[in-house]
Amino acid sequence: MHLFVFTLLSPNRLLKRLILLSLILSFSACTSMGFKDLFSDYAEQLRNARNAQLKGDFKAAATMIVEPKTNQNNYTLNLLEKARLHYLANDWAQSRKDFALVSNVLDEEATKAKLRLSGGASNMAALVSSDNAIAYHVPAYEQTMLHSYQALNYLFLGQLEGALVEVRRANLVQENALKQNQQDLAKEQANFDKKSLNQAYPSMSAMIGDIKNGFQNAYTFYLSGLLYEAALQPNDAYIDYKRALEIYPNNHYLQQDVLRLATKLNMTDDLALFSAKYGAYQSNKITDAGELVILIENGAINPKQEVALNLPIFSGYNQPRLFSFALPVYQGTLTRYTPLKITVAGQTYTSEQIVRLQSLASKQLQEQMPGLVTRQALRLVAKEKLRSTMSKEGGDIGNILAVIYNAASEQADTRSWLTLPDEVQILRLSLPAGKQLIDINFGDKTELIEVDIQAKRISLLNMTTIGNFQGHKLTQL
Amino acid sequence: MKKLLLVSVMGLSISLLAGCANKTVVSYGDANAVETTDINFGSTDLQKIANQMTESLIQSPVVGTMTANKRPIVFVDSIKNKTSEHIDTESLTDSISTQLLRSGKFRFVDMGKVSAVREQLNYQNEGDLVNPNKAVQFGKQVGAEYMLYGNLASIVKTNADKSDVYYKFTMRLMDLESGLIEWADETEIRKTSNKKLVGW
Repeated sequence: MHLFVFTLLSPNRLLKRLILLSLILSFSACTSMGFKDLFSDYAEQLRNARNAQLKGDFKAAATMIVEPKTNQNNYTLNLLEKARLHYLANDWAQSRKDFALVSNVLDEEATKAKLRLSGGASNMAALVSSDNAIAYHVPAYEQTMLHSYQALNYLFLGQLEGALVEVRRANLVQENALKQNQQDLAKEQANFDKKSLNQAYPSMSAMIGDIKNGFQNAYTFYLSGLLYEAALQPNDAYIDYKRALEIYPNNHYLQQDVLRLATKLNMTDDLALFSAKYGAYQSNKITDAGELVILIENGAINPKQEVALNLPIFSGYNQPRLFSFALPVYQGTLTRYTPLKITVAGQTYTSEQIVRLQSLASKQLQEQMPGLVTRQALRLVAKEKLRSTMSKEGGDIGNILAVIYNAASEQADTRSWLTLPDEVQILRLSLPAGKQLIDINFGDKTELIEVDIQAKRISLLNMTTIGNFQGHKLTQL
Repeated sequence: MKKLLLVSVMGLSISLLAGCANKTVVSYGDANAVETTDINFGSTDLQKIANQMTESLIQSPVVGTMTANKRPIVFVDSIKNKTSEHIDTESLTDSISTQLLRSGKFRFVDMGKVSAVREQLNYQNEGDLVNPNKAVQFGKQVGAEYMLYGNLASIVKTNADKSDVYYKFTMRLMDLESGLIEWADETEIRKTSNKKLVGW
């Protein structure tokens, strides 16, 4: 891979460097970064909180997250982690508050000027340290999950209307991401040679699977459909179920939901199409039935890891030199989770996957890789200039100091929302109205859960399995 | 060298002027002034909707005959928020019902306070503390004849240069006895915000 980088600075005095450095510091003073952020890995910082989360001690985990402050680079990220842990700890009001703060930041970002001086300043700071100096950018898949959890927060607080607002916002995020993605793809093909990077960079295809992009989240669409059904807007529900089915065409529950609503709404053309694909719709025989929908969240998403690559760069001299790149990567393979099983009246229901967040995260990282590499190439050249100047001005000591600083500050940006689940599965069944005791099998464990089923209404059961922890929350839609 | 010094001095003065520690200034403003802080639903939208709806309702000929000899009793159902923002629709219904009451043509019952009223009546009638002759009797309240209800919907579009939001507010007055819609109207609001090219 060849990247041509032209540097504008011709160094001759250490004083110049100092002035430049103080200038950068004064620019980036508003978005501060802790010493820890500069020299340590994000997953490392979050290790204690994650361990507590795996044990199911969510309250303790939430206290271990760095207290979010508006001027930090990781402000939104820390809020997301905290909000998710509060959600797991059933503290919906606090979780809603934290998610709302992130929403505010995202809304503000969206209205800001296209070219921003402050962005330039933090990019300049990133130029002599690492990408960790740039304020955390919340990727689309995390934004959709933010709104999904916020919708659930509203639901558990008994506010269906607020929950509907949140799913509409989640859908807006996906629509905008789709638009943005098409534009980016058109732009990228023009000026970047992806092949050479792909040869050196480890393949994440095992993690990505067969998903097409890093933002389309069937779970959000399903949740949105569910809420529209609860709000007696079957037409809106039908549209969202159909969108979810497009992403997960093999999910039987989605197929049944689409068939059921197509029948109910007399969508003749659609119904003919779907019946041909998935078989005719069999209506449910229980009179006065209510429905139980189970959302099962499995595991915790993996942290990004750092990988060191040697890539050649032309840095203004004639000979290309090998530079060591520190890039984030997802390594390993996808974990398989045993589906949840329920046996009711002799029939067994098995949960099916509706989103694999790990794959979305990996795909998203793959998509942003070209930009990441370009930025890092610029940085490596800037750092090399710094080193050669310091070596000239300060002799061996200057050289050594610069080498140490460069090596220590060169950290891959491994930040991502780590308290998210790895995947979500769904299960849906009709039950006669009244109190029902349900035997739920997951893994080798069985749990008896009492559900109050109301005729023609939906009961929502949110189950979580992380590490050794298993828990559930129940609400009536 | 001089240039660099100049740049650094400028940088420092900008950072001082822009200031990370802003001083807040408090001042009073006109409650009816046009507010354009951001593109989200704001006070101007609320006032515009409430004013247009009450005006339309009061001036409608059907309502004119309805209120010629008496003051009909109305109850306001909640307004359904179908937008992608969290909007306090209760505040909207409050504004509308207050303006209608002020016109002197309608009377209202407040469904939000039924349980508080019941509690008070229970206290007056069942406790021994209130003089039974002066206690307010059960079963003397008057039922509503009409129901006022509405929807607030929005369409949001955003691209790299601008965002556009369109609000449509629909309101209807239903005769509770016959189920007929006696009056309906809608208000539209369109807001566009263009992104600046350069900013902090």
